Amino acid sequence: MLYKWKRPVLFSTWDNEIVVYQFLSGDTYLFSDLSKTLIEHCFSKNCFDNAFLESEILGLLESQQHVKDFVSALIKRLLNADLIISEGM
Amino acid sequence: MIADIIPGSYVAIELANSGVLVKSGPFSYLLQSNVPAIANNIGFLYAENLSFPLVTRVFSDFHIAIYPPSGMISNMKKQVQFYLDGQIIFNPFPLHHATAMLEWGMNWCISTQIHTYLIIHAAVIEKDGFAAVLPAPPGSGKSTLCASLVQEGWRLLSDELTLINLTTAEAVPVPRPIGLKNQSIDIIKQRYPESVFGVLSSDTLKGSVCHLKPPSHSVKLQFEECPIGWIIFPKYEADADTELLPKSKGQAFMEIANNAFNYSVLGVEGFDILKKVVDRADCYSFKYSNLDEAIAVFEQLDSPREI
Repeated sequence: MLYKWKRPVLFSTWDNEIVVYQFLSGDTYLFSDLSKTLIEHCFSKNCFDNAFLESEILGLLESQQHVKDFVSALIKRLLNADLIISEGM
Repeated sequence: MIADIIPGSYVAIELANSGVLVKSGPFSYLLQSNVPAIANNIGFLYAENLSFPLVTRVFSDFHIAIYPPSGMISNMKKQVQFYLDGQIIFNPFPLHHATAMLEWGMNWCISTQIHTYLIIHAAVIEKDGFAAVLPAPPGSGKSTLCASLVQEGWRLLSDELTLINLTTAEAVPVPRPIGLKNQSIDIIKQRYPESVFGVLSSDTLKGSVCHLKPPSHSVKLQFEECPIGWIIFPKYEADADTELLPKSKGQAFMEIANNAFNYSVLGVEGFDILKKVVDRADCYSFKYSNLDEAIAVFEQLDSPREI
């Protein structure tokens, strides 16, 4: 599944944290550590998928399954926050 | 020369007729009431920001009146009613809570009606040209700490509402009386016997409430905005060791946004200005149980990075 940012969003970064602001809802979300790293990577992409995100943090968690689970949880959180939409929607 | 205290009997006459005009920072309140305790409180706490307009058609941001509601039952119950611009705002409350309700109502006016500033539920004080913002939920010891620091020479910008200028990201003073509750009242009275307190409201929803007069120096500087150097989240914990720990900026941002009255109302402007504030300030969490130690920590705060 391909995802893309539901632009516009605003963000601010400090060290290992990023705060993302959703224009339409006015809600603000904090992401830190690996999530922050991944979000920054995919901000520069028009669209991205699980495989791309998994490749960005490969080897940084205990196992490949942990990597998959982490990415999947992050995608779910971004979708719930209405920050991204899946390409087919 | 401005009087330190104006006799309640004098204030009472004006208050019951044309009203009295209280100015605090960018706001002015026209107050009218026939409640003697309110007259006394205003005479004690607002002598330096008070004027007597002689006519009711003077400009004010908020026109507040506190009078008994009409009807015999309310009069028998000794209740009074809070009016803003002629409209009833809250349910009637006991007469002996009138002074506390006036202060809470004055805060309510700003926090619900004003969106030309980002408004955070936080105390804000200043030393050596930099402001420390102290956001905290009720019961965190924010006002006790703020009252102590102000008595030790910090300038009071506000005990309850931190107003942030949407252009400069600086703190805007609204130096009104500091609301103290329960044991905090005696703690501050004993530590600082020279301090001036208003009338005590007992048995309110928050317990006993009494307001401390802001120092003259703070009132004189009520139009001088101040860059924010520190954001410190205080928490009083019985028997806790004094501890000042760096707090991440992301966490600080989220907590301030949650403590703000109008962050979501301001939308993108709110996000941008809060980002600017957090970018510039050093952020900490602070735990204390001993006021002497707490004061010492604030005196030794490192100068904020260049703003």
